[in-house]
Amino acid sequence: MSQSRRDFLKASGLVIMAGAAGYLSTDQFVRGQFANYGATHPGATADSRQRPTLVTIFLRGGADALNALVPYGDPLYYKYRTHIALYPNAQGKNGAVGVIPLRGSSYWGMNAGMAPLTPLIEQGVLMPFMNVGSIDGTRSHFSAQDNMERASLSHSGVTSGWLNRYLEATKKPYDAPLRGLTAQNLVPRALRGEYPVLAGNNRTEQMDLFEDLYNPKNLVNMTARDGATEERGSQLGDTDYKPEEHALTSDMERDVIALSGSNSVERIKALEKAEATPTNAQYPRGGLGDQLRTIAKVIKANVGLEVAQADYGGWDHHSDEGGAGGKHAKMLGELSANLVAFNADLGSHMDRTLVLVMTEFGRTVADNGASGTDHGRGGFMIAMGNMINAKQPISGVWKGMEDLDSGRFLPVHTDFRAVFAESLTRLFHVDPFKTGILPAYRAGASDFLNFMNQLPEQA
Amino acid sequence: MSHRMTQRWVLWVLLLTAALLTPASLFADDTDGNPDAPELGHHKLTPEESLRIRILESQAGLRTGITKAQSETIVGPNLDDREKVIQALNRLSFGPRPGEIDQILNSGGWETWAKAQLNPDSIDDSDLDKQVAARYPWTHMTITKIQEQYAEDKEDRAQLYEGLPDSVLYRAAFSKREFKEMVVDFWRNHFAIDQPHGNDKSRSWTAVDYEENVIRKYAFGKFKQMLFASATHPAMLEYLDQQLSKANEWNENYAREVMELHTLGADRGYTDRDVQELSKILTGWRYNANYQFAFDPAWHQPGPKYWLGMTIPEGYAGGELALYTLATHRNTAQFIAEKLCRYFVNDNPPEALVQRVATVFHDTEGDLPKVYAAIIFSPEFMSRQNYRAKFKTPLQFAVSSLRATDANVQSMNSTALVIAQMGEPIYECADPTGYRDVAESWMDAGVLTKRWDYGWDLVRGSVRGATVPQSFYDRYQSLKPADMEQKMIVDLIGGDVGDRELKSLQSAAAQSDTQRMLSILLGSPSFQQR
Repeated sequence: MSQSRRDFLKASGLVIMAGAAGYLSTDQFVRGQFANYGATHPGATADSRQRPTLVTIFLRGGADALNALVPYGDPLYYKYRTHIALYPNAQGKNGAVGVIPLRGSSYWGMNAGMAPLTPLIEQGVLMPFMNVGSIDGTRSHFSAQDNMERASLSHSGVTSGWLNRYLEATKKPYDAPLRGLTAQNLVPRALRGEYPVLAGNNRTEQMDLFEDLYNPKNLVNMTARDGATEERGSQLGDTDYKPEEHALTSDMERDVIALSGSNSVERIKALEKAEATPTNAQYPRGGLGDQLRTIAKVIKANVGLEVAQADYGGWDHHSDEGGAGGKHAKMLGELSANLVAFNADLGSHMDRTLVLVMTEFGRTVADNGASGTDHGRGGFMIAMGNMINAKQPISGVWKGMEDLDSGRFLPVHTDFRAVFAESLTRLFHVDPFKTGILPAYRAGASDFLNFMNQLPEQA
Repeated sequence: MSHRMTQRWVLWVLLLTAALLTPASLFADDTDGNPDAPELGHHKLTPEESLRIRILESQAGLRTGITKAQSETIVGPNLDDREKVIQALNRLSFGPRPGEIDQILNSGGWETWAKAQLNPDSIDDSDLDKQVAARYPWTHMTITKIQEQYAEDKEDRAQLYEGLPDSVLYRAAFSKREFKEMVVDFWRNHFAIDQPHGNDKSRSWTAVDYEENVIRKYAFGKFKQMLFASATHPAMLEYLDQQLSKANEWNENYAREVMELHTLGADRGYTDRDVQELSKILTGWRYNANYQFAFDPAWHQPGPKYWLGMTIPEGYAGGELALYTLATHRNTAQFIAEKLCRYFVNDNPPEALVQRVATVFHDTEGDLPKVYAAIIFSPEFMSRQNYRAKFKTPLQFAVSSLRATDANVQSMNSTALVIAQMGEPIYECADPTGYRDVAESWMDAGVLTKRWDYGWDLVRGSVRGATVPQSFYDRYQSLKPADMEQKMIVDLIGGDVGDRELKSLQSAAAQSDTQRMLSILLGSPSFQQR
């Protein structure tokens, strides 16, 4: 991009994304789109790239921690949950078993909907955390999700997603085309940023023509067009003509669109190839299963996938959350069956694959009059992988049900960024603080929960 | 002037304002006694209450900065007359139809067109009205009637949840009130609800009434009317759980979102305590068995509430006062002005413009046609920097394709499905936030292939229910290849296209392959701009 174009962008305030709301500037976006990531190295064989992979599953809407991981040994739990409490034996409103003990604990249990996870917990490859969340107090879904996916706080000026920053910080001149992936129609915030990531649900039968039209070679003409607009300006008889002000916005916008298209071509081709990999497990029907199936195929194809995110929405249960066998229990059931399928499908690939399940916040400790719960603070996460270090049934800092924030919420004792930092450090051997992947986060290895073992460095 | 004197002076101005401001009802349109105003607006704002609202704003420092709303420097050569029409049609309608640019140029230019569009009732749209009445009969029914006819049977309900997106797209593509359709698209997204496809939610049938009697009805009214209409509509009351909120067990969902998403903006001037207090204020705001709003005192949290620094009285009137406060709050003016400018002008709207529009909003209590006019007739709107600088949303892309090709439409179902696959299902946004109106939300590696395919399918007749008529191609058939490609570029894009696009077009034109040319243009980077 010529200097004048870049200056024009800044001067004119033309940005693809609004600054105040924390979107990327065009400048950032264009730099990402222009970069030559994914180009095939003349001497490289793309298929030999076995890399560790971090797969995140985002439960959108604020899943209720206390209806997933249940301190059923704490009488206060039953005091707060008068409508949707879960019981370890057949009692409660519909007389069903609502909670099953976690590794034999008489205090901790999990929603009976999560029963499929039992073998994974017994094998020590699955670890739940409690009282995790953001130190930012927002209880807006939008802000809290945005904060978590940017791994930052409100109004911090950080615009890119944390997984994208990992890709950007560790990029090399000839990267594998599918280092980052989502198997959805659109890329979620965590994967957005300068590094191009494919929204893998997109195809076309007219790829050749598309490739021709959305061709990076279009850029060769940009300088020529800069010249052309200078000429055009003089034709308009504008005496105060300044060439740098005349690089047309509409041209610029078109180029950004063309580049975005061209970035997808190689990635779609790589994905189509990887999707030939067979699936070795039965995923539940539904969006989450479809996403995880595709991600698993790409991991098994050994094409260098490093970060991927799947989304599962609909957790905002202000009403009708349900106790045993209720709506929330059914959704946890679908999540659990998916984790089990993914683990089985990947087999030994789970040695270098870490799954992190997260949600933007927990919910009010007391249930409301509509058998639901409102927005809270501290929440839960789940980590899965063969590198999990499962010493206790549950990880994180827990001080009992009397330990409340504002008398209504579970407090945040672990900044979710500590979990992100430990994952990045021990999976990929990067320093997330020095590299700026977790900007403005002052923490170190002493803040880690030690929920996982360091992965051996790969050749 | 000393600080103390300034304060006293401000207080006198506020008192004077308060004395003048004694509307018949908080939610009636006090300028002309609009008969469409909600009948429920009983509460009269006392001068004391009005004063408190102004003081509240003053304390928050919200009225500062209003006066320094100058225009900022406009960069680049002026748009010529033709470009102005293109800009107007790209931003104020769902894109030009064949011949429309010339037609507007020949009948007074863009301003004449825009002024008519700002007064939609002045435009005869009876052809469309007939079509709508025939295709979507529920648009003329009461909710109880809709329930009677459609709610019982699964297939009848399917008519509603397939029919609602269908009607949205049909009107967007074919209404002569082109600007109204754009505005309605904005408010539908702003006061977002969803329409569930399951059996148990009455929103399957109340949502279609919401579209008619909240969004469309007040799109050219006052903001406070639309806010009040949404707050009391059964679809919203159910969607954000207000229906379930009761004394001592209040539900915070609606109270939070009405401040965060509908009025003040996220974390702008309210605390978590304010969310709880507003929840209590609004307990008892419910609908009855006939789907009519009816305040239920038995569900209402007794006692006064302390909210946004003011004491709100117990009872129904307290809720009206709270909503009125939100509707007329300076932060609301700012938040809505910014969103509207983002929608109509630029993803990163010029600050001076936002300030001017916010002032108009605030001073007129959200008189929407005046607010729209402040944007449309601003120098920023018609500037080179903002010309074709927006990336079409999936819905805008699909509707503009149908318009540009003069498509015959029997059904919009397939088009609605494609829009959903592109991430923007109509009346199905996953969150009450609505969709984000910035290019970054829609421009990923990969998604452009879906647009490319839609254009291709439309031309080949593979989009069910929509076909490009032969008459579209007839206009090009007798032309020489070079004229053919030029005319099609002018008709569909208005201006020029990229070099790569031109080359592809030329090779198709050389074979007189107008179908291929049309596919290339619809899927080209240039057609994604507006």
